[in-house]
Amino acid sequence: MIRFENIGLRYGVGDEVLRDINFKLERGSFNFLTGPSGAGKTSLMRLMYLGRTPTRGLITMFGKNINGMTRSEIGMMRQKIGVVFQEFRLLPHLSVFDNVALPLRITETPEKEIQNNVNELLDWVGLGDHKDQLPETLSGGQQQRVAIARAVIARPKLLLADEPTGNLDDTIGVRLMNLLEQLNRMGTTIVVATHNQGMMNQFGHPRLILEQGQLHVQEPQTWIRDKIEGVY
Amino acid sequence: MAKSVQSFTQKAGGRYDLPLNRSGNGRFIILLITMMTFLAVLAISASFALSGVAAKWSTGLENKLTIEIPAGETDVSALKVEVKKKLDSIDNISKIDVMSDDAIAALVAPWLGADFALEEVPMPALIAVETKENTRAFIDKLQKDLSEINSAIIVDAHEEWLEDFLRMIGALKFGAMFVSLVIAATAIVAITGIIRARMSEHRPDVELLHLMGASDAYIAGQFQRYALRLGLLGGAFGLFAGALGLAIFSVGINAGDSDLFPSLRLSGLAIFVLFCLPFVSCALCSTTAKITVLRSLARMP
Repeated sequence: MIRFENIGLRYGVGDEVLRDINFKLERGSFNFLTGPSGAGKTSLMRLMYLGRTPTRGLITMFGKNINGMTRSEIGMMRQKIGVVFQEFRLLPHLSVFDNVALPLRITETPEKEIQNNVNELLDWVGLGDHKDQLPETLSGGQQQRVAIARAVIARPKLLLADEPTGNLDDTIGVRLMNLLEQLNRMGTTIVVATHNQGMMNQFGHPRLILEQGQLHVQEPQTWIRDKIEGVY
Repeated sequence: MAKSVQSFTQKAGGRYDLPLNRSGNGRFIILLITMMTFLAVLAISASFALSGVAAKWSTGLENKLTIEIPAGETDVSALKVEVKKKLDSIDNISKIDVMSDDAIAALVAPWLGADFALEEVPMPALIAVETKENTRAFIDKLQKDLSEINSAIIVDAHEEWLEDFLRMIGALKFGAMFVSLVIAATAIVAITGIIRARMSEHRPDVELLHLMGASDAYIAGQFQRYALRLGLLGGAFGLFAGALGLAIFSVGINAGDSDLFPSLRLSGLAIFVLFCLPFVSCALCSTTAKITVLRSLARMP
C-alpha cells in the first residue's frame, strides 16, 4: 500500500535529516513510529502525508508513484490520507461540527450527507453535545477527539497520528488508542508517531524505529524478546 | 461597517473555511475600492464629456467654410458680388450666406462697441458657405479659383484651429483614460498586497486545507469570493459617491450656460459604462485575488 525506497530528505543545504529510508506498509496494518526526539519522526510523517517531497528516492502510495504526479493528482491523493497533528491544528473560528465537516466540504460532498455523517461521527467520539462549540471552549482530550473525527470523517485509507497522546493523561490516551484500533479494525491503515513506550508495549503493534535519520522495522515478537532481555 | 459587511456576506450564503470575513481589513479594502471607483467615475465621465465637446464642435463646423474678402480692398462690394457669382456656379456648394453689414457689426460689437459707425472703419466682407463635401482638394481648388478674382481673398475651413482644439480634447480624453488605467493598476497592486497579507495571516490554515487535499482552486475560491464581495460593495459605494460628485459638478457647470462646454447630461452608453463599474471592480478584485493566491499556492509542495 505504501512503499518508501531509498528515501532521503534534507532541508535547504543542511545534512539529510532522513537517510536511506526503506519500508513498506500493508493495507490495514497498524504501526507505531518511534525514536528519540529529533530523530526525524515528524519529517517522515510529513513525507507520508505528502506535505513535502523527498530529496531523493521513490515513494509509492496506494500503488502509485508520487514522482511525476500533477498537483491535482497529489491533492486527490491527500484526500485519502487523514492526519491527526500533534498540536491538533483545529480552525479556531469554526465550530466543532464545521471543523469535522471540513474534509467533506473540500470534496464537495452534498450538505445532507455531511450533516448525517458528521453528526453520527461526533456521537461516536462522544462530542455530539458539543458540536456548536468553538474548539477553544473544549478540553485537550475533547479537542484531540475533534482532530481525530476530522481525520477520519472522509474514511481515509491511511491515518497518520503524530504524538496523539502527547498532551493527554494516560486514561484518555488509552481511550484514544482504543478508538484508533476500532478504526483499524474497519480497514484503515494507521501509523502513530509516539515515544510513549508504555503505550507501545500495551498495544503491541509493529514499530518503525527512527534513529539518527535511519529507520529500522521491528516486529512485535522482536520487541517482546527485547523487553524480556531488558533492551527497552 | 465591518458588521454590515459580515452580515452581507453571511446573508449571501457565503461560508468561509478561513476567517476572511472577520477582519477589520475589510473596511479598509471597501474604502480603498470606493475611492478608486469614485475617481474612475470622474475620469470616465470626463472622457465622455470631452467626447461630447469634440462631437459638438466637429459637427457644428462640418462642411462649413468662411470666405473673407479683407478690408481695404478697392471695392469690397463688387468683389462680394463677383465671389457670390462664382460660388453659385459650383455644384458642391449647397448654401451661401453673404453676411450683411449688420451681422458683421454684431460680430465686432464686443470689441468696438454696439453704436460705432460701420462706414468709418474698413470692414472685411464675410461669406458663410455650406458644402456638400469638404475635401482638401475642393478647398484648395476653391482657394485657387477665388484667388484668380482677387489674390487677397481667404478661404477659411476652420481646420487649423479646430484641429488644434480637437487635438487638445483628444489629449485630455487620453489623459482621462490613462488616469482610469492608473486607478485600475493601483487597485490591482493594492488588492494584491492586501490578499498577500491575508494569505500570510492565515498561512497555517491555508496549509492545513492544502494538506487535507483542497485543490488550489478551492482555496483561491475562498479569497476570490471574499474579494468579489468587497469589490461589489466598494464599487457600489464608489459609484454612488461618484454620481453625487457629478451631480454637484453638473449643477455648477450648467449654471454658467456655457456654449464651449456641453451640459453634463450623460448619454445612455456613458450611464451603462458607469453602472458597469461595480461589476468591473468585482471582476478586478476577484481575478486579482485568484491570481495572487494561485501564485502563492504554487510555492507549496
